[in-house]
Amino acid sequence: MKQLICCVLLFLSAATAKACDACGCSAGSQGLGILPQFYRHFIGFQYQYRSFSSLHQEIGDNKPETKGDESYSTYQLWGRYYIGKRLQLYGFVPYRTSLVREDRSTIQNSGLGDISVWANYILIKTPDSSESEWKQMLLAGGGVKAPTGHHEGISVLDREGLPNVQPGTGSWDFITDINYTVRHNAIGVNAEAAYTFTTVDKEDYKYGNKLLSGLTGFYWLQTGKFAILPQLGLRYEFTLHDYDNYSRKWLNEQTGGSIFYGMAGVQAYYSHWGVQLSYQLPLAQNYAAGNVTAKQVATAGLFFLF
Amino acid sequence: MNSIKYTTGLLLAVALLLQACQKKDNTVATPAQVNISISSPVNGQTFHSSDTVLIKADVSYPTELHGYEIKITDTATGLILFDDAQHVHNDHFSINEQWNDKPSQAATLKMEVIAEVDHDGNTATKTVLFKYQP
Repeated sequence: MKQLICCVLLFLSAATAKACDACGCSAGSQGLGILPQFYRHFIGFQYQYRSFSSLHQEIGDNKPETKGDESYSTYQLWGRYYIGKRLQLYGFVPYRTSLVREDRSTIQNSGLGDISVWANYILIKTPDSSESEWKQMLLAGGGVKAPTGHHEGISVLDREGLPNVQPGTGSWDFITDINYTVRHNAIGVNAEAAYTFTTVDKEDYKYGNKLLSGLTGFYWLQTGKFAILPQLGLRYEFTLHDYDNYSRKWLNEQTGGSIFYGMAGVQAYYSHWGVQLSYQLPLAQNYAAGNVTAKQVATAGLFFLF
Repeated sequence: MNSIKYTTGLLLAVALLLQACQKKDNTVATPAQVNISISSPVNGQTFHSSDTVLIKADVSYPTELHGYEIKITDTATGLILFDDAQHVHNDHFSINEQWNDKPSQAATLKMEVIAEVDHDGNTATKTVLFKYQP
């Protein structure tokens, strides 16, 4: 029952999120979610806001832990381009800002993030001509994230398990993903998973591999050129521990962990344009040995479909 | 709703299991293996009001260290006159600092270099005694 109440509250939160401008896609993993297929290509702009609170262990006897509040914003240009009927190319160009407030200091970072490129292949798709009440699509593929973002080496905050506070990670990462959507008349479900294989940076630091997965139910309401999709779902993020030095296998057990989010959102489309809003709150988490607590994720986006 | 709880619990358990399977350096934390070499100040050295106390030390260990703390204490009063701590993640590092804020009266001072071996409170310490004469 508690979960049901939580889901309802999440949905109401999403409704109020329309009034503010907080939303997005940032610090690390990237998922595709539910995407329209009625136009083949699109270009879009997304904004994502994520916030955390943290406890920082001080070196030395009897020194109290310091508390921090961290927020990350990602402004991202992204798009999809079809090559042929079944191959989709995606590109993501993020600009990231982060703000870390501790007891006595504030650290701010901003800059171009790590650019990534993906290719997905449509393995299963119900033909557009089909009159079946069931429609489905299965995509799978992968991509690469290049270390284009500004990165000045590993900071203490990195080693304490916070998502990277710098615009870039300094490493090449490889991503594989799968995305399945099935719809019966107006009701549908999307399931997706993306796994990121990280590599070492030039200091031999390695961020933990990361899994992002989600299960989202949606309802498709359409009137003429206008369509709206309210959504409710669960997101699960899991990150392995980082290595302070990968060659020496110095595992940093203060990092990594898992977070379960409840998600509510809405997408709306009119003619060539679409908007998305979503809001996530953690339902359960065990992250960075309990020193980092995820608070919320809010995302907003605008698409132009062509 | 119970199935959601069980699924959540199962996924968290799998996550912990996967993390537990990550390869790691299993060297046991042994503070006695930490080598701390303090080159300044040296035992018995006397400083005057116009002097700068240079703090120089090299720290090494067979595996990863997590940081260090330097404390200078007035041995008569127990008052801590200087305290600095830094996170450092390496198997060796050098400390190069200085201290100018000396007391108004003559004192015998103790400097401790404390190396943090792990995050569980294991440390190694080396101490030198020196004097301050205004």
